[in-house]
This record gives sequence, C-alpha cells and structure tokens, in this order.
Amino acid sequence: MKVAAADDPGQTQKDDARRGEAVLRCRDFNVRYGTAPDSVRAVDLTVRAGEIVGLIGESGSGKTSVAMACLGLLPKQAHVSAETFEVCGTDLAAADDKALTRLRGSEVAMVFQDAMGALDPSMRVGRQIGEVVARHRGLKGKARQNAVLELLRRVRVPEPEHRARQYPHQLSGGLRQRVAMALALAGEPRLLLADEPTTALDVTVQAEILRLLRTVRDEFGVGILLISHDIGVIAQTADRVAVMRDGEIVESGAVEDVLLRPTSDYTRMLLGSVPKLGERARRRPAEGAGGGTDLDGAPLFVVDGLSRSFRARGRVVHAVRDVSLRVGRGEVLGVVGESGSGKSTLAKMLVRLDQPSAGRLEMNGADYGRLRGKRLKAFRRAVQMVFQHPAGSLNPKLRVVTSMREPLAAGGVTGGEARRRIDEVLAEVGVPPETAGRLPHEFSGGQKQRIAIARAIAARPQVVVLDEPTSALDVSVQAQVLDLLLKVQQAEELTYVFISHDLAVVQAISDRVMVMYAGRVVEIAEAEALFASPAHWYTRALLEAVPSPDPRDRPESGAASPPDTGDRPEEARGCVFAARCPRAESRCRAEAPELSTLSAGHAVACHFPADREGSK
Amino acid sequence: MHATGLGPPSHRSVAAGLVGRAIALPPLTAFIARRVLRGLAVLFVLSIVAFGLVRLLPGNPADVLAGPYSDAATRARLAQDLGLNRPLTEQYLMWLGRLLHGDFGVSVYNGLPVLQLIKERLPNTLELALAATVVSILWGVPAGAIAALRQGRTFDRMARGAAFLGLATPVFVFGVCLVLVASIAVPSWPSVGFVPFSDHPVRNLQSTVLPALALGLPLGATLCRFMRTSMIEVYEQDYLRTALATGATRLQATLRHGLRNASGPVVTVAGLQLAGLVGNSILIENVFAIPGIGQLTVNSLMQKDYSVTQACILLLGLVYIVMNLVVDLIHLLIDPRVGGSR
Repeated sequence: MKVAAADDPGQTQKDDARRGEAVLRCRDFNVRYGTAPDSVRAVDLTVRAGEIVGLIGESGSGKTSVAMACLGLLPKQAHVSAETFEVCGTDLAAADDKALTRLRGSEVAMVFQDAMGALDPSMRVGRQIGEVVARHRGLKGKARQNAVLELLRRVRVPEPEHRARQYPHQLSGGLRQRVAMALALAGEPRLLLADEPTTALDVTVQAEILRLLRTVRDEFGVGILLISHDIGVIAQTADRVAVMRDGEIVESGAVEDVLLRPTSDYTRMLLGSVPKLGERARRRPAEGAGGGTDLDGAPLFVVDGLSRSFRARGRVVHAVRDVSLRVGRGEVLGVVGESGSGKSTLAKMLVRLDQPSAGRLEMNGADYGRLRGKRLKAFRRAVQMVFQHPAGSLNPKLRVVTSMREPLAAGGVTGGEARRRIDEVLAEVGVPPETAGRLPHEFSGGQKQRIAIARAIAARPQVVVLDEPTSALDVSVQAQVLDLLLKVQQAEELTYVFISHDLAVVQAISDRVMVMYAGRVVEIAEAEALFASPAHWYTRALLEAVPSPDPRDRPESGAASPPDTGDRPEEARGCVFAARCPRAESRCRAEAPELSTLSAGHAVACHFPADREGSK
Repeated sequence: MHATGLGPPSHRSVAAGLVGRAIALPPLTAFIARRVLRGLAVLFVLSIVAFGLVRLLPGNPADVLAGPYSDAATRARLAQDLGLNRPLTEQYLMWLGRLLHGDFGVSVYNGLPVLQLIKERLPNTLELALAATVVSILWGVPAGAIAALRQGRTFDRMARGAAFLGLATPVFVFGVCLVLVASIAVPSWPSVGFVPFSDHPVRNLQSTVLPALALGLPLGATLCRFMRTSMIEVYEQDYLRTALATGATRLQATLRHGLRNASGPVVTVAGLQLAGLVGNSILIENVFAIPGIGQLTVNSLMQKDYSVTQACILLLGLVYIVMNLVVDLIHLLIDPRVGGSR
C-alpha cells in the first residue's frame, strides 16, 4: 500500500509561500544489499527548502539507508536504483565520486545520533568546524574564525569564543549536538539530514535541540529530513511526515493528517503503542491491601542515607548523595532522572554490585551491605537485575538454555528440574521453549529482552531491578514488554525497581515514582499524584519537555531558555537545581532543601514547591 | 602492565555530578609526581627481587673466583672476604645503602666498578634500541595505515604477509641473512664489528645500520598490525563518517582525523618495544659483536657476578619505568581526554 501524498498538489499549495524548491526528490527509489531482497523499496520522498520532513520508522525499516544514500555514503555492496533520485538538482544515481564529494557538506549534510562519536575527540571543536568552513567557503585565518563563531552563535551555543577552544568531551551532550549541527551547517548546505539527532539526549535537552531544528529551518532556509523512531519528536517538529515500514513508505502527508487521522493500520498500531503521559489505562486494577504502596506493612527494602562517591584523579564525584527510601513488598517503584542523575549507581548498590560509600541497605529487616559467602548468595538469588541492552547481557556464545541455567544452578536447581523451570518461564514471557537451544543472535531485540526477563525471574526472586529495560526497543515492542513486565510482576508476586529516563514508560508501570537530580532525590510520590501535580520544578521541567505525540500540542512560540551547558555547581551549597530553576531565589543558592512531606506519600526537596493545582 | 594508567576518561560521571577538587597541584605536575613515586616503589620491590634471584641460582662468586680446582678452605675464605656468609638481610641492606650513595659495587670478575661497566655499554645499547625503534616505526606505521586505507586490496595483503613473515622469523636468523646480503651487495660496508660513537661517529653510524635493520624490521611487523587494526577501528567511528559527510575525501579524513586517533595503541606498543629492546638485544649484540647491556647481563649471570647482575636488572626496570612515563606523556599530547585537561 503506497500512498503518494508526499507532494500531493493540494498539500503543496497550502503553505507554498514558505516552501522553496525541492532539495531532495526521489521517486521509485530502491536500495539492495548484495543479493538480499530490496531493503528499501519504491520510496517516493520530497523535501523542500524551508520544511522539515519527518521519517518515522522502527529499527530495520530502512530509514537510515535512505539518509546515507542521499550522501552517497552507502557501503559498497549496496545497489541503488531509482526513477528519480536528485539532491539539490544533482542526479545522485549518475554522480561519480568527485561530484559526490563536492556535494557533501556544501549541498547536503548530516547530523548523527551520537554527537560524542560524531566529533573528532582529539580536535578542538572550533577547528573542526573551521575545517569545513575552509573547505566549502574557502575562508582563511580571521575570516574563518569569525565564520566559526558566527555559526556557533546561530546554533545558540553560549560563549562561542570559549566553547570553540574546547574539546568535545568537555561539552555537555546538548552543546555537543549543537556543535555537530554547526559542523553540518558550516558548508551552507540546502538539505540537512538529521538521523535520530535527539535519541541519545535527555528529554529537557531534546526539547532544546528540537526547537533549534525549527530555528535552523527558518533561519538557514534548509530542508531537513528528520529521521526518528520517536513519534513525539516528529509530531513536535516536522511539517510533513512519512511513515516507513520494512523498506516501504506506508503513509505520508502533512503531520496533522498522518498523526491525527492515520489511514494505514501500521500507523494506527504505532500510535497506539506510544505510552502517553497522563494516561494510566495500562495499570492493573488496584488490588486491596496486598498491592500498591504497602508502606504500612514492613517494607521489603529500606535504604537509609545512601551515598556513593568516586575519586577521579584528585576530584571527588558524588554520584549518589544521601538517598533514603522504602520499597514496599509487591510495589513497583519508578526511578526517573536524566543521565548522570545517579539512578544507575543507585540500582547497582541496591543489588550490591557496588558498595555504598556511606549509608545502610536493608532487605526484610536485615542489613545486607556487608553480607558475604552463603548469605550473600541467598541475597543474590532473591534480587535479580534486567539491563538495557539484552544483546549485551546475554553471552553471545552461549545457548539461551545454558545462560538460563546459571541463576538456577546458583540456587542448586539443575538437570531436568532446571529445564522444566526454564520451559515454564520462557512460555510465561512468550518465547517458545523449543527455541531454548538457540544462540542469542537468532532472536530479535524484543525476544532477547523477553529472555533476559525470563532469566531474571527463573530462580524465583523477590525483587527485580530493571535498568532502562525498554529503552533500546522499538515502541511497538516496548508496549508488549511493558505489558509482559506487569503480567509477570503479578504472577510471580514481584517487587520492581524500575529505572528509566522515559517518563511515560515509568508512569505506565509504577505505583510510586522517585525523581532524581544530580545524585539526590528531589521528589517522591504516588505515580498519579506526581504526574498530576508535580511539586518540584525539575519534575515540572521534565514533564513539560516530553514531546507529545499530538502535533497540536506544539509550542509555537519557542521561548528559548538558555541551553543547559552541563556545568554543574562544583560543590553546591544550596539546591542542586537552583542554576536551572525558574523559581530560584537567593535562599535556594545558599541552603539545600531537605526532602519534606507535602501530603501523605508525597515528599519534595524544594523551598518553594510548585502549586498543587498545577498552575504555573 | 599497560602504559595508560590514566585510562579512558569517565566524562559522563564527571559531567554528571558535583565535582569537587581535592588536590591543588596542576594536573600535569601531580600526574608526573605520582608516576615518579610509583616508579620508585617499583624499583624498591625490584631491588629485593633482583637480590633474591641471583642468590637463588646455584653457585656463588666465591666458587667462580676460586676456580674449579680450588679447595674448600680457599672458597670459604673468599666467601668470607666477599661477605657472602653474613645474613641475607644484612647483605641486602648493605647493598641498598651503597646503592643510595651511588655505589653500585665492583665486579668480582674483573674488578671494575659496575657503574663503569654499564656506562661503557649503555650508550651502545640505547643507540641500537632507538635506531631499531625508528626503523620499525618508519615502515610499520605507514604500512599499517595504508593497509587499513586500502583494506582487502593488494597492498593490504602484501603488508599483512610481510608482517606475518617478520613476526615468524627469529631475529638472529634475520640478522645473519642481512649480513650475508649486505656483504654481497655492498662489500665495502662494515657488516660485522662495532665501533663506539666516541671513537668514530661516522663508522659508528655505519655499523649501526645493519643491526638496527635486523632488529627494527621484524619489530615493525607488530606496529604494522596494531596500526592497521587501530585505523580500521577508527574508520568505523562516526567522526570519520562526519568528515566524509562534510565533503572530505577519504585521504583527507584519514590524515586529519584518522592517524592521530589511531596512534594511541601504537605509541604504547612502540614504547614498550623500545624498553624491551634494551634487555632483549642480546642475540643481535652477539651476531654483530656489539658490547651492550644484553651481553653484560648474560655474562654476569654466568659468572655469578652478583653486583653486576643486580645492577643490570635494576637498570632494565628503570628503562621500563621511564618508557612507560614517556608513553603516558605522549598519550597526553595525542588525546586531550587523558589526564583531565580542563
């Protein structure tokens, strides 16, 4: 089913004024790798100057192949055929190496997902940009330097003179992506390919970069092909959308048409899988006294004053600071925070893969911080962990059944008994037990994560700590895995500590949610209370930054806040969030707020908590 | 013992949290000071090992000095004179005490001060080691880089074949072959026989060429392999893709963004090779009749010349420590992420 609305005349007229000439035009475009069937088939796609076209698709849908083909950078074994394949008027199918090299950077440029990897780690960023400026504009010396600073200013990098002299590792993730954007724009291209440009970023930074993309579209007048698996990102940024599946475009058109009135089943399924903030349909019904927050009964985990600091070359880095919490039996505690907030370090300490620098860890009323030998082994059996990358956490050389025997053997279950349990849990997570003899690479990402979950629950633990268990999965798979996790939790009467940067995912699964920032707990509350009336300004910023999958929610006037430079106060005396907080007063910078109770079960570390009504 | 004690930076955790500074020294000074202290500690441990090791070997200097036909009384008197029958700890402390005053003792074999023996030979060995390292870098690094650039093509296959041959051929076989080839091709070239630099600089350089080639060509094979692997890894990095995507040709991208980022492991290997050469050049020293540290070490071991052996072991340890420091400093220059530059 091919919908050729990509440049349907009716659509085009609507805002023809803003749109310029086509900078990318492909018709019946195919890519084939070796002798395999075409991985991109019959794609029709047009990008005009001054518009953002979103390309949505799950992993393996061929969206990156399209982008790399536009640069002429597909691997050698790839074969491209097309009726029309023009970038800025150049026929790419016929272009030779020389023409392609001339085209790259000056007509078409690309922003990659991982800005850390996309920048040369051993060259100052100013020089890297300068190199491209020199190559395409022939500027030298002072003129080149000025052009670099001008570019940095236009992508809203604060203190460009200072930043230009820094190396990539000295910049925060958001600044790095801005620099990568400046690098791409340095040759004054007319087509900008952005391949998952915000996927590796924190949600607040993501919002800044998406705003920047719209600014770049208007100020530079470029056409942008925005590739993303995240429907929210596309909904908030793109003018037109194409949905890709298995190498074909199944639907395309204006962003509001496609996302609000989808015509294909696939788009509808995709939209249905997106966990939305403010919807809690997926949660199980509250079950009497046993479920939910059972804080009155004896808690399973009690954590008191937990801190972890690392010494890195004479500096002390506090990854986790003075965290205290209780986790009730059968509860799902969500932990949210941006990268570096200390949530993974906390998880490692909870399962005792890392030792705290200070503080006390209790499970079932017994201190397990200093356990050894047999007792530690029993603890390990009772507490299991699931990691973000299933491919990395399953040994690629071991058959699934062998990997799964390990936790069972640690508990003394072997032979036929172990095999019976393995079959049982595999069936429970929806992996056919007959396939247990296979190697991990024979399974898809979602299946691998199912196997990782099965392995974690095989030895009948009491607690499972899940560190970003769905972050590496496609949305449709993510929805299934979340459902599975809830089902397993109820069937096995498990307690979960669920760590994620994705607020919607955390909301979909958690009873209570804890928000971390710079190693501290800033807010903790029942999930519903937290999402309905966040009290900490950081929580509010997080919630506001989540891109909604509804294009009508788009904040048209981008009141640009200063970008997060990643500079954290070295030894903050006051509130750790004060530097970014809209409500901060002098007291916040002088005095660190304690975690104090707002209402039953809702605690916040803020001197001036936001209104309970949720008004600004 | 890997040279990059600093390891890759943990920029994530640094960028993340609250960063406090405990030491006020400039990072580089603190770094070097820490390294020197650690080196001294290693030397101290090594001194114990060296002292114990030579005494674990069968025989002692008294036996060697007295000769095979001596009687027990002579040997006992000699041992008494040499202080060999005192408690080991006392002997060790005496030796260590003299060491700290710069007195390395005297060779029991020829009565010369150990320091003088080493001073005579060390320049020869260092010259040879440096020359061999230069040779190995000169062919190994470019060959590895070009092989990576033209991966799978003829040059790559030839370079890999040459590297394999270099690794598989014993050094002395290679040396003897070189001498034969050289004496046939350029009969006037001084193929065997070493001339110290202080005696005749030009002849010295001439006489270094063949041994340096004999040592350096096989060593370059290792560098070639490391450089090739490292470059291929860099080619898979996003920043090279970025360079290509901004209109650089493959060669430009390699020269500007590839070589420097690929050179880290190669520097480590080359530095340790150089240190290893000082101790392991005995075979080549024999083939080319060069009076060097390798010969001195082996001879002193066979002659039970305790003070010379001990000094040689310490010297080799020192060379390793210094080379490790040099390698780390070069890493600081290559990679701004190392060493916490601000």
